[in-house]
Amino acid sequence: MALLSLDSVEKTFTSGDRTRVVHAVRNVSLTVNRGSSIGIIGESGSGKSTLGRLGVGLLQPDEGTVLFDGVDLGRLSARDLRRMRRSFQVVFQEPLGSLDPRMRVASIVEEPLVIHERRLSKHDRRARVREALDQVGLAPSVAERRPRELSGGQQQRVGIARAIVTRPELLLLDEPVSSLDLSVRALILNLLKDLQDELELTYLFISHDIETVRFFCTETAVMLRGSILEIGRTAAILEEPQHPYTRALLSSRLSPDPRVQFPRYELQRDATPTASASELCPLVGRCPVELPRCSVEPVGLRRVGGEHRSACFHVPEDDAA
Amino acid sequence: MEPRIVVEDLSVRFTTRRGEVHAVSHVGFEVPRGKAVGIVGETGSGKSATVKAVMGLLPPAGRIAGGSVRLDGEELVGASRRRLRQIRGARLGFVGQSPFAALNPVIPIQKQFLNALRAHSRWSAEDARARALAMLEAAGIVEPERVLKGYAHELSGGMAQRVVIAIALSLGAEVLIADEPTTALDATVQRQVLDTIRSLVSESERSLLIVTHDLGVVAQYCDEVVVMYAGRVVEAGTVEGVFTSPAHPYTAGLLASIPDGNHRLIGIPGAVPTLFEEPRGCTFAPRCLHTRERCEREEPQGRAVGGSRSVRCHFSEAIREEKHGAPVSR
Repeated sequence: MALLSLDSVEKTFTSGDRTRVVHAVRNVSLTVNRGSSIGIIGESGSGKSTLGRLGVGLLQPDEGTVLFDGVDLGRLSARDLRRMRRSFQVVFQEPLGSLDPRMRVASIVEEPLVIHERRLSKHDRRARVREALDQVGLAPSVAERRPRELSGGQQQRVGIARAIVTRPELLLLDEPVSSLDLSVRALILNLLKDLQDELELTYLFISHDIETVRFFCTETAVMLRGSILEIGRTAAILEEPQHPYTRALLSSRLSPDPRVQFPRYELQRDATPTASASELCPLVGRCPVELPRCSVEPVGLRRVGGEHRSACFHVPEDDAA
Repeated sequence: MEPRIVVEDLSVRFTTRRGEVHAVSHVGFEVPRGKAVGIVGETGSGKSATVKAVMGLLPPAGRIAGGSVRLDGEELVGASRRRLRQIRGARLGFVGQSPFAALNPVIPIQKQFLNALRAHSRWSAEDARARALAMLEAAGIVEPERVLKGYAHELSGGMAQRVVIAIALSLGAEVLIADEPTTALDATVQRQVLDTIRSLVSESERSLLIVTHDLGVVAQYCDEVVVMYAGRVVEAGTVEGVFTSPAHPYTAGLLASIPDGNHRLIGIPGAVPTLFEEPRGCTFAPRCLHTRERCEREEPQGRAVGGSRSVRCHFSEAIREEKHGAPVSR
């Protein structure tokens, strides 16, 4: 059951002086089933955050459609889109930057209710705030504090409480633990996993760290320069990566166990990147197994097996499609 | 042979509006010749203040409150600014987190490189250029000529960091200090840059001191590790020993916080203490799963626990036994 589906979505950004056009998301199609969690991994500039924002209507695609629960977000009026927003909320990377420093925690968590659930009485809103704080493991006394008085982990818990207080179905988690220390990160990851089970949430999880994605994403999409290069069940991506870029990403992991070394798979270093307008595979020029046709024709996603697909000419072409 | 760097009983304090922060307290460690040592710690552990103190680069609000830092036997604490300037660059190379902060955006790479060389000794233009090209090549730059003529903004993050590494080692420094050298780089580049650092260091008996929050970097690239928490060294020893069988509950908690598969993580509840005053007891006690009465009363001192391993915990052995035996209630 698809809760969110993106179909052939495109998004470009133009620099202020109109001299440069960045193709942030290219022809991306993605289905997120209800109750599942999909991880989008990629390096900085891969377009993963833009894709997430398109998915929750914070950005409008130039081309393609975004359906949430069957409703085309692009066709909604601003008012109807706002009304739908209670169903999909966002947790941001920088907890402190995403919380108003002048507001107390209680007001921060209450704000989405003031906007989205106008019929709730003040008393009921307060009860919902208490419930959300409890769900994220914050003591009731935290409600009276301001963001700066809290630790990084507590701040991110406030960000999560604000996201779940409207009882949404989908959460966009945009690098929610990247700015946190390791010991705190683990607790927040556990919390997000528990909340998903308890509240039957669907997650769109954006990360640069494949181990974090593996922790709770059933599916994974690998992005580079606006395109999805590989997508499938997380286990399949980790165990049988097909795209050279995915292999390079996996080999870049540094195990905390000195006895474990991940096999090396290196891209050519310092190669001049291809022009950003190119429709070709973004790995052209850096790929260790490049074929002559790679620099001539674009390659789309090809079926590896089941739902596992990879945009590489080394994957045999589909018989069916 | 005497280690390259010997740090003993080092304490660093920062003056803030809210009072003095005891950022580093009685820290000691050694960086042996030809070895790579990693300092790991989270925010507020004092790891950055420690290396800044070692380099004599504490900001004005910070001061060394006690202890000793020796480089090849020479005391650096209390050394004149002039002497420290001579040592930095020539004998202590430094690579920071952001190469684009280290490189000047409006001056060609070549000029910056030659300025660095000439700051320390007389070089003819040709010799300096030859040296720069050789260093860039050794640092893995594919087209050193082109890079030398260009500006920092023309480089990718990985290339820019290679340039910084080349400059840092161009004067033949015996020690390279790298503070989160790959944190700002993309994953696929990180390993290549670390390989470069490691090979440049090991080929000439140089020593490497890496400061990082990333346990993987230390596990894969260092010989020895110093684990810091709240301004103190809580555990130190060989990477193999510390990472496969941690002796301090904090080290064990950190290792159990790394996602590895999809099983539940352990994590460490609570937050790093503020360091406005010397605590009574163990600084980790409020977050420790094994705290006993003595931990709150008496601060543990670093003590040897076999081989080169040291740990700052009263109950290290007992806790490790518990883990392997029946669980003991607190």
